[in-house]
Amino acid sequence: MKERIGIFLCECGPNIAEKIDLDKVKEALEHLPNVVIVARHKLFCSLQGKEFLKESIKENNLTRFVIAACSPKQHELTFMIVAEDAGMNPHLFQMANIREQCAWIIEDKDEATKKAILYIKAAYKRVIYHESLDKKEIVANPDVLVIGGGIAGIEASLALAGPDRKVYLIEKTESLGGKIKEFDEVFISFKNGQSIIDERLERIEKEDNIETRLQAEVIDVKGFLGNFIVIVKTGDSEEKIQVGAIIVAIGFELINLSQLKGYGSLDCDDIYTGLEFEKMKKEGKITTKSGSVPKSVGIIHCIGRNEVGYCSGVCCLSSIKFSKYIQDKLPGTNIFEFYRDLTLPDKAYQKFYENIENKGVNFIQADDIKIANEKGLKIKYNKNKSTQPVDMIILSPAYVPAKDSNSLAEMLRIPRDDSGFFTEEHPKLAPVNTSAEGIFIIGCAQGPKSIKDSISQAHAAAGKILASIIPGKKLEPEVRISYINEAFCIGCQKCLNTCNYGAIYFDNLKFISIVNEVLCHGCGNCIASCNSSAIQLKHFKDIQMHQEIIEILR
Amino acid sequence: MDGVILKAQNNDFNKGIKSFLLSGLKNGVFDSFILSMQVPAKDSYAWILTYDEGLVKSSTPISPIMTVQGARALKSLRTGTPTQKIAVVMRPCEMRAVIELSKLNQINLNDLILISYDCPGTLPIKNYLEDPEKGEEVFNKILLDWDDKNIRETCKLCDKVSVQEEKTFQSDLHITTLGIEQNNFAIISNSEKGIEILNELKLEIKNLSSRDEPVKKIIETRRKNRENSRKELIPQLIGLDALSEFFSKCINCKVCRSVCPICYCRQCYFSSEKVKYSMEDYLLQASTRGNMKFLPSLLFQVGRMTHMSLSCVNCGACEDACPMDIKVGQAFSYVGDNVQKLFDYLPGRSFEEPLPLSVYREEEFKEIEN
Repeated sequence: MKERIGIFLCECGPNIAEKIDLDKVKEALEHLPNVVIVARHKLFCSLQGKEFLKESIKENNLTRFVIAACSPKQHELTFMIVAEDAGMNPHLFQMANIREQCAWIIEDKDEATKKAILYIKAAYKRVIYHESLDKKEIVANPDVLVIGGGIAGIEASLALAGPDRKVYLIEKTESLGGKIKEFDEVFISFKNGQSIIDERLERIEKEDNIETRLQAEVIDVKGFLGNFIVIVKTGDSEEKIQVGAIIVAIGFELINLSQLKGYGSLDCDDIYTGLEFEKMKKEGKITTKSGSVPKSVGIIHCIGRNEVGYCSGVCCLSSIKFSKYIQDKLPGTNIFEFYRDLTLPDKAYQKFYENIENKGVNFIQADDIKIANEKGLKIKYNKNKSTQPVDMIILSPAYVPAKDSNSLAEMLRIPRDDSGFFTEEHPKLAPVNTSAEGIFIIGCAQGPKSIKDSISQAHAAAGKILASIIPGKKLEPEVRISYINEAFCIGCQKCLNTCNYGAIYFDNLKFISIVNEVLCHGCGNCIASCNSSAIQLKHFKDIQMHQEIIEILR
Repeated sequence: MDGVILKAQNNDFNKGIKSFLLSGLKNGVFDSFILSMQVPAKDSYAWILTYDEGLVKSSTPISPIMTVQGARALKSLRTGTPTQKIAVVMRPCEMRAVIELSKLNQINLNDLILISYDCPGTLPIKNYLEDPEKGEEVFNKILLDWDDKNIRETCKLCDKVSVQEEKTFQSDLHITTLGIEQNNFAIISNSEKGIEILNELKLEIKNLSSRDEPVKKIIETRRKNRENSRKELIPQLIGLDALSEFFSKCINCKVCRSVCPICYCRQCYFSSEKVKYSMEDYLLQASTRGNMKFLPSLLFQVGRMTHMSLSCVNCGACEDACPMDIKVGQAFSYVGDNVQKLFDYLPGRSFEEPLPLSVYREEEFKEIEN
């Protein structure tokens, strides 16, 4: 059959039309072999534009087409749907990005026009070598793995578990509850942390569809959205768990005080971290080591903030809560809160702070705080200009990533930021997603957070999963995936290790690698690792890329 | 380092090694051997696999030239379930290539016992062929005095000649002559398997600290040689123009690739249809550039470099084989060293070290992230 190729030029409103001479472009393309139509439109992504494109494809019996417009990131999917609507395989077209790569970056109209022609010709050359790819459908596993049994993990599990969805809740320690169970009172209800956890544990107990694994860890993860295969180790036994999504909720740790320099003597008696103080309060005895009741207490905010390079955001509130503990338990104690900046962003926090301050807590903005142990504890601040003797010191150290986050990041192949917390896909628009589809991050695993925010994120991730992996609904896996030419594969298995998705397995009989079409995501890593080019990626085959590049380098 | 001291009458190390191998055969620690053997015409060496005591006796474990790089010979042993204890005697650079190929699943190490030796270098094949008999004589002298005048250029720059505290190559046992008393040589265990074998043979382990100085000295000399030679080499490699000139003599015979132990592909990309274009494309290139050179050698050389330089063991087989005397081995070795440094990787250093391209490290190349 003779090819009939169409070329469509999008004006993108004034975006392209004003910067590129589209008439000249049209002229340059009209005489290319097999091109039967070159047409322009104000906005191909608009309703009218899409209709025009569809009709043009049909009327001209197009076998392939090129659309010169914006980035394929923005509208490739839009035009794939139009192609399908017009009865064409959605892979038989190619986009030329003449907006971001030409119109928006080149001042000179002639230059921009020249470059646009080059790019469209390259796309035209490439599209000739495109092949039809057929859709596939796979059944997605609705079950979810939640790593970390703190408040975030528990909330997510409870929100997700149901008659047709199982949740596997993996906890490293011997009990669920995470850090909250250490808190004697939790702002704003001042409920006991343990009782908050206990209420939820009761619900987990009743929920048949949550399977908890205590003292367990994830040791291997393969697959992707809808089809993860996870190996979980509990004690000495390993089990294989299949799920459709993974939530990472491994929480935080407090910065190790021994790493901190410049605060003076942090290792003296009667200096406690926030968590240690919570424990003391829970046991009902706020006393110094010698057993006496402290007459004065210094609370220091922002411990390690300079070192970690961020504000943990929640310590101000818990530090103020400690003042309340002391006021309640030991009225009349002199309390000094040393802070750099007060971070009290929530609608309820300001009032709480004012209330505590009115009750006589001294809030002191201070720099360069040092602790000295000279005949009793002393807090020196503002370059040793001022000194405040106290009987007890409570520190609010910075939140840092949990110890396992590095190994987990490597296993899940999700990135972490400079501080070591997991990185969300987008800080504003996709705060609980990660760059890996089907893997979510919630709570302090993503960064320091309040309990409230952790719970919000747990519910957000649960919502995302509930909306995307509906039991019984099928997922359409990527069809632009890699395949291996048996004749060229020499069985070195480098591709097995470079595959992010565990999608390549080795056939020992034939001594070649084979791609699992369901697990392959089409990322192209294996292709880069294969010296003999035995692996090719559908829709990004060598010939398709070569033809495009040759034309651009013309 | 500790090891076992054995006799080598008249400083004949080959003979000493062979009697060690045969005692191993008697004691059941070895079943068979892969050794270098002079061909009947007495002008080359080949690898043989043998059970035969007589053949072992007439073999030359330390041979004056590197014909087939040993690792390439072992590639034949990829499949099957061996039930043997095969002792393989090869040079350090051959061992390193063996280790690399085992990581690439091209050699099955299961039942091989890798025995390396202190290697002073080998003679250039071309020189040896001029007068093989004289070559033997010259090489036997080198084995004793380690004079590097007559060895290959690439060998003069090699610092992986012997085992030392800082591990640079892996084998199971290592035969050492440097710093050992006259008419003796020593065997050092260089792996768990090696330790077991020496234990099984119930030989007395002695302190070999007399080696430390001579080994250090030779390594320093070689590194100095390399530094000096690279001063001349580097300007010839930097930039596209320089590189084009460096390889301009290339006749595209691709013999460098054929003899390379690391090039293991069944079908080389650079011999495939993928590097052949349509007539239109060639005409286009000719018209835009003014001419088109057939068989672009630079693409082949640079392409091969990107494929294998992480595992390049600087064995020099390519340079020894090049009919046009291009310093291809030295160029690859320079690039290889630099690439390997980036990944803190040394090919053939250990059985366990994974190939850099097959591991994901989160903390890596931060400087090129945006």
